[in-house]
Amino acid sequence: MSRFYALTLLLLLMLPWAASAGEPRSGADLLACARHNWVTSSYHGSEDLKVFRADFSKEFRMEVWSAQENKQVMIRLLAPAAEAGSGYLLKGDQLWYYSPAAGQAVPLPSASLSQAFLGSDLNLEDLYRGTLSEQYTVKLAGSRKDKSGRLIDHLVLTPKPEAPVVYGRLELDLLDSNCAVLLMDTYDQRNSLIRETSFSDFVVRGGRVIPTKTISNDLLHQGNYSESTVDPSFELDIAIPPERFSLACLADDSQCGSP
Amino acid sequence: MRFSLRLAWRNLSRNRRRSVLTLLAVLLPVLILDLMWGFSNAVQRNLFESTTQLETGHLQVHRADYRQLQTGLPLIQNVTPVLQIIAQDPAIERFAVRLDLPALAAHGDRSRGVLLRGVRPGKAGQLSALDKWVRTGRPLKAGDRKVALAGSNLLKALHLKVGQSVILLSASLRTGTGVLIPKVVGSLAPPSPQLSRSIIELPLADARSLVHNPQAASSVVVLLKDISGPWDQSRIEREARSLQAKLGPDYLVETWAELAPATVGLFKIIQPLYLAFSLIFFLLGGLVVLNTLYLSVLERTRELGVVLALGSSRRRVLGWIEVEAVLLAGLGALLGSALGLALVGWGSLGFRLPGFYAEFVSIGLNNIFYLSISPAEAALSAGLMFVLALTAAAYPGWRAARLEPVEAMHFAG
Repeated sequence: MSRFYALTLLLLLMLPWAASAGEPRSGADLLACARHNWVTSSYHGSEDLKVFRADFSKEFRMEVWSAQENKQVMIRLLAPAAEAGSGYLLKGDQLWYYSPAAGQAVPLPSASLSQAFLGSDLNLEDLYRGTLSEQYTVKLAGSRKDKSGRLIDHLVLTPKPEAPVVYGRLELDLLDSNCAVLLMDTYDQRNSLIRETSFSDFVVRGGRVIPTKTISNDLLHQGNYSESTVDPSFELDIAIPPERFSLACLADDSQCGSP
Repeated sequence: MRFSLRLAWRNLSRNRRRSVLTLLAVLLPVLILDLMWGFSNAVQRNLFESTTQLETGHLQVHRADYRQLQTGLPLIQNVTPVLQIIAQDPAIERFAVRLDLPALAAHGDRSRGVLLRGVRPGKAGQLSALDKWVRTGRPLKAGDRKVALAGSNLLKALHLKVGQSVILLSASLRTGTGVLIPKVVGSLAPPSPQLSRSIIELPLADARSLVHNPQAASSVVVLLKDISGPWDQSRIEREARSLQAKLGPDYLVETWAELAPATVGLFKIIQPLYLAFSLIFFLLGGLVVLNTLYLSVLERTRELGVVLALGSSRRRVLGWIEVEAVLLAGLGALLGSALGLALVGWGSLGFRLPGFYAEFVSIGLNNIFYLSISPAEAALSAGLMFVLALTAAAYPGWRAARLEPVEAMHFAG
């Protein structure tokens, strides 16, 4: 019976796509298509985050689990050694941090979601939340062909009046064929370009086109950029025990359920 | 001249009430102006000392790029060479090392973003207003470790009590994550509610452990010798330039005025206000003198007519009136100045303004005021009033000199 309901639901969800097949797509359609690439029912993988500054760099390695379309995210830091064992748990709008030195999970203000993650040029909101379609009005500003002849759509996302967004607007370049986002430009409220994020090294997994490399350039501070690399062995749409997204698991790996 | 003086004196003593009134008209503005200068200087000095002695110092040393560095902690990684240079500077009275860190304070299921201030416990090493605001518990003591003072509003927000422990998390890309769990030994009640919601003071060594660097500092706060108020700003700037030259380009020396622009803004409001009040007092004093001298001429119209009829020159009549004005204005200015200086001298010992405590303290002022006036300010108020009184006497004098003898002798008042 549950399979019947699931199939019915899937068909209902696919109806708008079927109806619009062959017709020019709107900005909202394209964003929904792109969102389909990055929002998965669950995810598990290892990632490296390298943060570069003018005079030094730092590298983090982490293991990440997510479920319920990224509403629940657990991040465990594996390296550097000084940070190993610490972790983050995101459930809805609530965020906790665990440090072995503190010995307990500490609630973080929700503003932490949009602040520099581990001091990098990326934030948790950008990395895992994917709230673009809820908080922005999207418009297809144009299409062009790149050097390889691929059709690139250019989307302009303007924050909705009530959205808790600090940016002035976002501009996305995505491949028309599979909605893979190639570039995201972030503008501040004075319409100055402040960050340029590029996505590359795509892999196709479960019908989704997923970038394994993200480079974010802080244009306000020359020489500041961050590079995130996802290990291609990542898994999508797998069963993750709910205990994985608990405070007990955040503080103690043995409390995370199996597998 | 001696005759003119004698005559003027006799005229003044003939109508004592009028003379005393004119004297008071000169004396009171001088006295009030001296008190106003004294109070203005006291407020400015109070504001200056509240800002510099307890918060900014006269000078502060930071890392050269601390204002540009938006994505990291602007730490002086090794403050020892800076302290060696500062310790040898004869113009410096004392200095304190500070380590200010943004951090997260957590207790139970609550957390708040806070500002941690690491200081060397004890008055000499601290240069901070925080100890003054300890409401419950105790201030930090020399040798303290893993203890902290927290703003009372922050304690409320975290549901934390004195005697309990708080988790402090400090994270920065360069220094990594630091964790400290100190016991709260006291609560702070600073005048600013915002500060009360965010401040935690802890021993410098503990703050340094959060950034994993036993030599780190965010600033060195410096107090110079023989600085009494904002009027010494040019000397402060000279010393800042001198210290900057000694420390080199890796560090930035800033004056209190650069660090506390809001206080400088207050000075910019206070000074024109006092100037406007002074002007009003001068003008009012001048009008009273003009009125009194004019009435005295009017009263003596018949007498002056007789004097003119007897052959006295108009110039001499004008001279008499002016000499009277000189005597009255001079005596009034001298007495006003003496009385004003005596009161300012008494106020220089310090006094409280009852009933104004909360208002003054809320803007960071000390409730004890110390009046002061410079010789130049005292001379200016007495001298200007004297000149103004003479100017005001010119019109009645001119009018007296222009009297027609016959008309004047028939003047009925």
